Amino acid sequence: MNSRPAVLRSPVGVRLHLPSRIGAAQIPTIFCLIVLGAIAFLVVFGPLVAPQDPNAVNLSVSLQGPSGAHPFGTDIAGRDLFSRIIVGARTSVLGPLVIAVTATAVGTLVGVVAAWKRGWIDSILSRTMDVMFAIPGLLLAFMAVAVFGRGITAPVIALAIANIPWVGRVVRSAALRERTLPYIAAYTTQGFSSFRICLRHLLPNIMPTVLAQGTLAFTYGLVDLLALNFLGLGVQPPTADWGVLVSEGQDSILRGAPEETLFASLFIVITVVAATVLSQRIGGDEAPAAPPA
Amino acid sequence: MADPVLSVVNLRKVFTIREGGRRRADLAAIDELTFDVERGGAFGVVGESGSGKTTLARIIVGLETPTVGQVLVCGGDRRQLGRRASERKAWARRAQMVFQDPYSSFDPRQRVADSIEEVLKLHFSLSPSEQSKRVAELLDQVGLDQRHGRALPRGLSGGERQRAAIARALAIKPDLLILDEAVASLDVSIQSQILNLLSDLRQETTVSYLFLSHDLAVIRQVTDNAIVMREGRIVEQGATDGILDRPQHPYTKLLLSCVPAPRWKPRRTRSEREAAAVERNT
Amino acid sequence: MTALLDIENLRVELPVEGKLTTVIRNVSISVAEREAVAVVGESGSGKSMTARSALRLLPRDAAVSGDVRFLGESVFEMDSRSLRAYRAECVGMIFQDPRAHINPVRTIGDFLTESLISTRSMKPREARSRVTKLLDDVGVSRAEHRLRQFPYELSGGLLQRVMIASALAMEPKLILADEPTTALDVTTQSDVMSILDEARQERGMGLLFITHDLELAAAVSDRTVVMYAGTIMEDQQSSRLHDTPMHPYSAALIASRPSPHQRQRLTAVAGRPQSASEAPSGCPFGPRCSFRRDECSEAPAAPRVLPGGRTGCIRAEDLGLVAANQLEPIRHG
Repeated sequence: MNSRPAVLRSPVGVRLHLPSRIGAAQIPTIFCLIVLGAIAFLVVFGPLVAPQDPNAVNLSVSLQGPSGAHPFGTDIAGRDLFSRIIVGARTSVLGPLVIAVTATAVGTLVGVVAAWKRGWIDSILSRTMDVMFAIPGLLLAFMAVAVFGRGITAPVIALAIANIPWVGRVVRSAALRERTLPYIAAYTTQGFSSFRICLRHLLPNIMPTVLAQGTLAFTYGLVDLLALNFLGLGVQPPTADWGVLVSEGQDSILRGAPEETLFASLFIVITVVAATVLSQRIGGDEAPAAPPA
Repeated sequence: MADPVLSVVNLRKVFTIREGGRRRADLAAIDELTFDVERGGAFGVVGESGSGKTTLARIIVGLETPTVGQVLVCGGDRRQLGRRASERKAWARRAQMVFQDPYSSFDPRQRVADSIEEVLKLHFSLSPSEQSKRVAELLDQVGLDQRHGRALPRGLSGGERQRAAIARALAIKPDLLILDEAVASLDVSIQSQILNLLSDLRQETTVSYLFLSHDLAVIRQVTDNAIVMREGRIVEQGATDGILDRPQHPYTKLLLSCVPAPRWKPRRTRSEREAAAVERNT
Repeated sequence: MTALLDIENLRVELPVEGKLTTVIRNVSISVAEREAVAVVGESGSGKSMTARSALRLLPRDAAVSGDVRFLGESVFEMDSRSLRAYRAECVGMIFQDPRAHINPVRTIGDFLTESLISTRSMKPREARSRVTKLLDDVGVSRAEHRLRQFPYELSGGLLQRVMIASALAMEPKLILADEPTTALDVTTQSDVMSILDEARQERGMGLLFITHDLELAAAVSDRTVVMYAGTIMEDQQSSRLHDTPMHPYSAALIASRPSPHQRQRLTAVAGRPQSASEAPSGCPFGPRCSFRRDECSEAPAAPRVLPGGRTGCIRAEDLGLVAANQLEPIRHG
């Protein structure tokens, strides 16, 4: 048979040469890293780079719109909002960071131990986590404030504890999956200690899951702390904090000056979105699957 | 047998099945299993899925505990092996295992040479130069070179990984090497390479093989003696050649009749009632 | 005579890390009505990709040339509606892992009757009695009871029979089976293959059977196509393949397989199976072939048509791989 050679054109993207598939796929990840890096810079160097004193009151320039002197405008007391947001990054981000690091460390430990030991240890740890799931983090934080008084320390500890089961449960299931793989069995039969197998081999291989959950804990912590600060239970004015700024700006909105709430909210949203996208990216970016046999 | 490398006496392993946390059923994966493997020998365990052969392998290397019965490797009792790392380390020198799936039997983040080196470090106190010399030697023994050693597992093909897995298992110089369906997931042309490698290694080392497989042709190729297992029990045992040339048990005959060969035709083997019976048990 | 399925000069390239790499080159396979054709190959041979091309089940970013025709109609030029009809009614598919292709939360009965009710607009009761009969045919007893069961309640062998029943339900002209018994025990494999073979012959259907097992392929097919690195190595009658292979690669495959009846050192092929993108120009098996000559690197990609079948080896004649096959000519695409 000698028919004309038919060329099939697939519906999309025939012979599309991307520069590199890996590079293109990672653009959002890189973008998120840049955003979070910039915020980290503000956390460390905020007070040094802020153009003006964030607490300098000047009632003559109260509630001004954005201008050359005040890029984000001023609040009701005439304080420079740009500087307040930059300086506020530290209190807004450090709390969630402590929550994320603590919850991830403890949660990972609990998850790996439960998955490795199984049996009654797993039952106790898993049931405890189930009970903790039933208590909302914010409620725990409210109770901590009620007992220990206002301030940031008590809610941070409460939220760190509340986030442990969220990390622990996911890490446990990832570790359970990993420990059934023959390579873990191989190390066991070679006589390595459980501690060493978990630390050197199991943990590094479930690290993407751990990091993803850690990033998620950071965003939960951020949002919950902001809520507390918004309600006036956490960081106290006049300390600049994004949640406090959103709260303080409410009155100004009614006077036709939404900048304070608007810009503080914008920074919150950017940080949360960047951290969430990043957590999804690293969670999905596990080791490439084995080629088919 | 004067001095068996492996001696299994009246072994029984029962798994308890829980349904919804309440209803329980006991399933004997292995029942009344008794056999010896002579030192330097190659012993085959023939069985399909559900025969209990993988459970047997996992008991011998210490990944499962027997319910009843005795397992001796070079005279050492399996019951000495507890959960402590020092006990497991001592047992590791008796029995090592090569797993079926070459794709997940290595830590994906560790270079092949590093994973062999890690084993050497745990079991022997060698100087760094002796150590890398030994790694090169082991890789060479299984037909791999430095380039393979430096690669991550995903950079190797299935056959190369299975060679590396054999090298890693031999690194400890175990008395007994257990190969659980070690060539089942390899391409035909690679399978023959590994089978030839295994017979060469038998000449070069003193290691004994316990070779588990469903594939009668592979069993014939590498083993001297064998047992045929079905649902946890031995149905036939003896010299491999004898079993395959003059099968006595209907199940062995059935297995042989199902191996595709020139002029072979597939046929209906067991009634569906039987299939259902097997299904209920698993 | 029009072939049932006619794969002609198929070439498939897939993007791997942004670069198009060849997975199939110049593959032509035809299946006549009532004919059973086996495609045998190791990993990377492109056998599964060939089967998927026959159903146009290729990734969207694949670059494809050549043609696949079913009863003369180009599958590649079908609009989405006729493509759906073609996949649903003309070809019955059986896969390696039935569990992955059956909805786990629906009953076996729902799975089997769904397409009959939706495509053939059958009444549920009518469809149920039809599939009960089908399950009986493929050796599933207590069919009425099975229809009410869920996939997890059935063993792999039983589930594969359900899959066969589902493939037969629409009375297709062609069955496409991709490694249907690879995940099964040998005894179950014998069962499943005999059921598939009987059902096919009774209903007069064509079969395209993809497998890595040369002996199994020969047992259930009229013709065997041996593939390597995305290329056809040879194509001849299954009954003669084992004794008189027409390509050194098939000969090497046969020789490297151990036998349960005798023990001898295996003649292993050095190296590992290569994919089409790694293989050199000319004969892809060249680097591993012990009969290689310089001119092998200029061998054409498509196999030559000889009286006994087709072979990709340019030295087939002087290696004596052809003479024995010149018994009767066979038809091919």
